Amino acid sequence: MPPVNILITVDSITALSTGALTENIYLTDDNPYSQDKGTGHLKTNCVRGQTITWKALAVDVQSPAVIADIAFVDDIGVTIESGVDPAPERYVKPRWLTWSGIIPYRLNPGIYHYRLAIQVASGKRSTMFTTSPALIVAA
Amino acid sequence: MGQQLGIVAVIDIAAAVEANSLQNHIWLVDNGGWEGSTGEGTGTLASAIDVTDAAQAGPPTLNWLPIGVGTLPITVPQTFFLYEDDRTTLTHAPLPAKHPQRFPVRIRNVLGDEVNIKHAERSPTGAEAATALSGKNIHDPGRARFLRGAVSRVAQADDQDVIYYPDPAIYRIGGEAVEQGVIFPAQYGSPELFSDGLYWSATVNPNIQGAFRYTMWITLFYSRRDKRGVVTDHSVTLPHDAWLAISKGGVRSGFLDDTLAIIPVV
Repeated sequence: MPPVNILITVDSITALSTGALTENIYLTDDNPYSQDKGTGHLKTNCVRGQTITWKALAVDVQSPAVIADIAFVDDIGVTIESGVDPAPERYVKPRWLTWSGIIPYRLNPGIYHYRLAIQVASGKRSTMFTTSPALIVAA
Repeated sequence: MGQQLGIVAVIDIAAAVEANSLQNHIWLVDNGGWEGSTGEGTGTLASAIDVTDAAQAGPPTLNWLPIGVGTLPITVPQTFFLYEDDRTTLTHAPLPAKHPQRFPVRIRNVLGDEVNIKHAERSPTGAEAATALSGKNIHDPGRARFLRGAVSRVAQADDQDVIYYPDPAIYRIGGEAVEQGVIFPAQYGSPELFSDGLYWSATVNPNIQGAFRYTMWITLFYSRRDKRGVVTDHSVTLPHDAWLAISKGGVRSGFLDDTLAIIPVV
């Protein structure tokens, strides 16, 4: 089963200016059955045991953006929000990280939103998060 | 694409020409503060470069941008070039009168001799025309274009004026980092007008770590008008050293496992 690659394109400058990733982030992947490609609320179609790889790309090459964190949220009553991460110092230097993993084999089919944190440069307001993207795990 | 690092060199050209040295007349800044660059805003910049992600993202790229303190903004309005009205306006007194030293010089650099600021061109005659400079565009560009009066190292006795052009140019990049194959610099062309469409860029070798020195050879331009009014253009190429600190961290999974992780879905 081929892996799914998710590409996150970030408009770093606008994101820093507005303090949120809403409308400043564009996700797409290489699974033909995924939904809302090219938006901030990509729903990636995948199956259990499949490898998912996330990669970030800044629109402005001089303002590199990297993934600081990917954490799955409880999908019961998830609220879609975005803003400045309240405690960016808890992340290790994110440039050194790769974001790749396997969908758990015993996971129930369904939609799983994740909290995506993107860091641009450094400082208190450098890290922004969004909870809009999701994985759809097929049966 | 790998990380793009911009290294801006701001130069006080008149001071550097007079001192025949860039020491204390150059200030360097890069956009690598995040990675831990040191000496930003001084003449001794050490640019920090993290090549950990070079295997995935490609090697980092350095771009050198020399800027004179007196240089007009790089994004000069296009009207500057395009409209006859503007050119006509520039030939009248108000602008040069407001900025007697810098502005006319800059206009001449941008537009060549299409704009004549205050005085009509005067072709050299007689003995002047017979000098070694014949045929090399020694028309008198007019008094308003010249910085006058100051004592100057590069002026010769009886020179009327010396001016310093506000645009520096990198002539070469060399030194330890180049000799050891750490960076591969070259001059590239671009549509950018203010450096004659040429700029220096280098790819960083991600397989070497450590601190390396490199030397920028920067050319500064000035003109003299001698006692007969003949204008000659000159340049001086001066070296200046800066450093690269290349480091690498261990790549590991963001899901806190050094092997391919099971994604922690709740």
